[in-house]
Amino acid sequence: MRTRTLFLVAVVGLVMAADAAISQTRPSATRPASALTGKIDWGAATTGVRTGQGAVALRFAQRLDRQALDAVALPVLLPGPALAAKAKLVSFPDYYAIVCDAGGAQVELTGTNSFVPVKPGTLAPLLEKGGQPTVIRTVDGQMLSFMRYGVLYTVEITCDRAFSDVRCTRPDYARQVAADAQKNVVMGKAAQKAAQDAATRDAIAAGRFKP
Amino acid sequence: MKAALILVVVILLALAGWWLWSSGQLSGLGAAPPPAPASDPAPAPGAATGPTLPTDDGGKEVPKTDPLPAVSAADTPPPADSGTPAPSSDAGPGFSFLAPMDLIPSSGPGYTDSVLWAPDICFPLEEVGYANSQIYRPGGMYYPQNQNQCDPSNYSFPWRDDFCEVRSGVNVFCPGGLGHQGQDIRPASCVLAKQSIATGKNQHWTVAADNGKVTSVASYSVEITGTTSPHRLYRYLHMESSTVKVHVGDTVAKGDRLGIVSNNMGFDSNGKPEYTSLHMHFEIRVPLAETAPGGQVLAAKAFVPPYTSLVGAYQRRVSGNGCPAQH
Repeated sequence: MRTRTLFLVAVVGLVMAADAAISQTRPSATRPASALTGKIDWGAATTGVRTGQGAVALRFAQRLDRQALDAVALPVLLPGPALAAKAKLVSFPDYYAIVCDAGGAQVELTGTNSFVPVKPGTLAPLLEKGGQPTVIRTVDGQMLSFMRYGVLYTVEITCDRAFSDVRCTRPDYARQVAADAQKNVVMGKAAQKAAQDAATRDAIAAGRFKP
Repeated sequence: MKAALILVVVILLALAGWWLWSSGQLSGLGAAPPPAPASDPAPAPGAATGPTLPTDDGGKEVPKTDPLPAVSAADTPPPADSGTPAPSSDAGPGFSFLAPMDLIPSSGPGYTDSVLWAPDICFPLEEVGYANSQIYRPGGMYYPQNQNQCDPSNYSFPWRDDFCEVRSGVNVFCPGGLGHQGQDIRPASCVLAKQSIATGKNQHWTVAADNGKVTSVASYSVEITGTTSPHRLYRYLHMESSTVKVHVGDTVAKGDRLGIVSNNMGFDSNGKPEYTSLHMHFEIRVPLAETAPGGQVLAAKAFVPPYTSLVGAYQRRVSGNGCPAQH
């Protein structure tokens, strides 16, 4: 009986030691993050283009790569004319980044409808409170995110003097950039085509149009 | 008699295995939470042990009140090539790491998240790197008994997670919503970038972790946006500005050099340079979305835990399956 108990203890110990040794070879029991594509409200975005100041901002944006703009299938928010004048655009079909030199600071405006889903409540510290986007501190500046037209837009300010430049220490500047950008929506060729396709689909669904 | 002897040996082996497992000397998930190892000291007696950074620190790696003077080439201990053999240019032997989410005790709220946020990245340093805390280890503001950031214990394995270490920046993965937004990684040796540029030795390059485009080059940060959805953002902080090789709009491939690791933290209000410890702060950001109970979709770009992805990248390098150098 005692021999059997000892043998059992030995087996359990060996199994546990083996498990520990194996676990050392893997970082964690993880699952990869996968992305979903959000639905864009093309009707609202088209109205925004028609009624907003995007065309004006675009005229100032002489350095903006028009091919990169045409490749984005998203409503693109531009910064106000002063920043737009120094803006560069980097894009993928479902993501863009506009980067502007703001003299001792950099303003970056990004948009995407590609997301990784998380459980409800996760994002509470980052989302709008009382109608204002939550501006968060980063290591070298500030950042805020907001949703418009079903697209996630993010404004990020980075400063050479990140701990004394008011553009990176107070929330006002980032909020102002976000407010200005929401007046300046434009669409490149890919976005216009996506908007037209969506309008056609909606018309078919409503029985107003037969292809 | 012979059988009894064999049984005794087996029991002794099993007990030894059990002791190693339970004491955490075999690191990795599945092991019991290990105590701080000798090379990863616990906070000093009397040091702050909770989230006590001033709320206006802006998430600085080393706050202004840090008693640690800015490190200069003059007070840097002899570099690795003047006595101690330099680590191998690749990962080198002996890599070990403590489990994800296992922060230095009392160094912050920690986190609980097992998602592998960037499964196929390359390790973002060209050479060996040491992931560990900048403020709860020698040279850090919460380790006053040893103010030498070049202490050998900082430049050794095992790695330790410091995502959600105490900071004042918003981080949705930290209980309480505040904490360190990335992982700090020390380079192969404790030699400042300016000195390494002057000597041409010990230049520790950061490299692209993913294929993508450069979407930001700021005063002391570079950002790469991954090509594939969900377009993860990889941010590298504290590089020596004069060494940054990329520009906004550049296309980069995994392993491409970006710049040299330094202690750069921009300038103060008088235009005087500010410094942190010699390290790279590495962040991964991902666009996240949730559906509110009313059906509304909410989204935000958020910092995600990089440690597990970094461990995977380093393990691939150690096993010879790392990313090619693309200088």
